[in-house]
Amino acid sequence: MADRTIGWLAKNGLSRYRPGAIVIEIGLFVIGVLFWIDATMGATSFTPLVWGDLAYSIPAICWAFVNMGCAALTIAGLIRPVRNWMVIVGAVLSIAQYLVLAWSAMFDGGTAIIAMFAFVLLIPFHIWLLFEAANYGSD
Amino acid sequence: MGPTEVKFITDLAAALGVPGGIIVALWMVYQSNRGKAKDPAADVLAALTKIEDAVDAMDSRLIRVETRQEMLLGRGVVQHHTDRTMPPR
Repeated sequence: MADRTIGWLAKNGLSRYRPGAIVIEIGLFVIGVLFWIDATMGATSFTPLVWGDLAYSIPAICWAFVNMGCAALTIAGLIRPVRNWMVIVGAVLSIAQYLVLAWSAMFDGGTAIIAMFAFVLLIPFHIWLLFEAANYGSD
Repeated sequence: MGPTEVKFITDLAAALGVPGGIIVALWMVYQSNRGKAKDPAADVLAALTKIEDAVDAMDSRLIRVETRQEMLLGRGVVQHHTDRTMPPR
């Protein structure tokens, strides 16, 4: 039955919790858009004191694009009919992005508390999304 | 509106180009996917409705049959034994 889903009765978390996941990903997309606008207009909030030297070595506009792109890919994957591969790629890229940013903020001269958002909320959420997309079939 | 404000608005419009493009792409994905997803919950409901109809059909074909006890009671061969002071017939 692993490959058979029945919507809201589904064992598949992607089918059951899809609307909630889309809301979170839209929020992350909007954050990416705000960073993109900030980056194209001077990147005033992107400093090594906040994000760390590792993150600062990559241009702010790249981070903003990766943030927007990962969220958009995951949203596209979550639109019915769900495409698991899009969710998997989006989740993996998001996890990699948040790991680098959190690592940089915590251990490379940034503000450690920034990393808590990634370690406590964003990385676990995307690991769960990745697990659901990899383990259960789409509908 | 001075040149600073105009520059700010044009910069903002330019900055919104890429996010706007992504939003348009997402909207196109949404439009092209509409109606393509299966509705497994509707399949479950349809299956349940078929079962319900089959049960109704069986119920309408049931014939009420008297039990032997009811038949004997009807003919007066036996009676409900209500008087506990006398043994039953």
